[in-house]
Amino acid sequence: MRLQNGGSVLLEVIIGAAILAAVALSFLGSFAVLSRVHERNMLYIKGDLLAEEGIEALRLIKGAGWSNLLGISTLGTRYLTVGDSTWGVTTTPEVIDGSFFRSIKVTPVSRSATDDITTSGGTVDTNTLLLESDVSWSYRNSTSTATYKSYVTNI
Amino acid sequence: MIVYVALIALLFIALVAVESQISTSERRARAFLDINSAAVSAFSRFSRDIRRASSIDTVNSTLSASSGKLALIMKKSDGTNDTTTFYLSSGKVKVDENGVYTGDITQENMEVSNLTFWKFSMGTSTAVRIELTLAPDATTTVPALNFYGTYVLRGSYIQ
Repeated sequence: MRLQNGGSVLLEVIIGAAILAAVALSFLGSFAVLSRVHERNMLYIKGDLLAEEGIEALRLIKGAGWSNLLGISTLGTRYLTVGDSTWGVTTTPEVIDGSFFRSIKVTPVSRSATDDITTSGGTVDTNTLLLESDVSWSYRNSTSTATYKSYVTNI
Repeated sequence: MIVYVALIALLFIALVAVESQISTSERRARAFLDINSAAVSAFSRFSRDIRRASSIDTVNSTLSASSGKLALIMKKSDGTNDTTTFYLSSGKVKVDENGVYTGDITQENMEVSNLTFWKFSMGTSTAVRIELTLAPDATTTVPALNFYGTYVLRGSYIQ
């Protein structure tokens, strides 16, 4: 009878421990997932700001003359370079803080006979350009990207 | 009896270890969330006010320094000017409007270790580049992170 009671208490302890462990581990798992979600969001915020910065840098370059933007509109993918007081465009890939990669592209824009922007056919409007800024980064073996696009006009 | 005591002891140790891990994870999650909130609120305000500005008051600004200060001049429709000043003080980003302190744009539990403003000028355009370094409180293992933004003063150039 004593042996039976002892076994029963032991079993209760094991079951109790298992329940507590399951609850604790589920809490731990939830917080670990939550932490990763917030960390991923933090990198998205940084990537998003960098992509937006790419567009603003091109707008600043436009301020030095429309021809500056027009000149890079046929070159394909390029990269930004930052000085003490100016932004520039280069062929050297830009890496920010070792883990964010930014590229920019300026492409000509075509318009239809009704002056609407069109992606097929039409006539190239030399007073409108499409700016694009792409930023990519890696997190836990997966790559994320943020892209900003904006039209600018020569006015 | 010995087995029983050993099991209880093991259970206790395991619970303490798991509780410690839960606490660490919870602090990390909160730290990332705090960084996110601070970055979004700071850059939302920077972008809105810099884009509205017509010029930078360079005399009252501290540019290209980690304890930066940016004084923006906003031209109003009646011809008078408003000024908005962002500056770093006691680890917080603070805002003055027309010389009167209006509050912080980063939270109490967030340490800003670097706020640098650069003035960029190209032709008719002027822009401000910002570097903001955010670090949560020291009880987490989350490292400080830099955030960057550049905004063209829309009032500074002819569109």
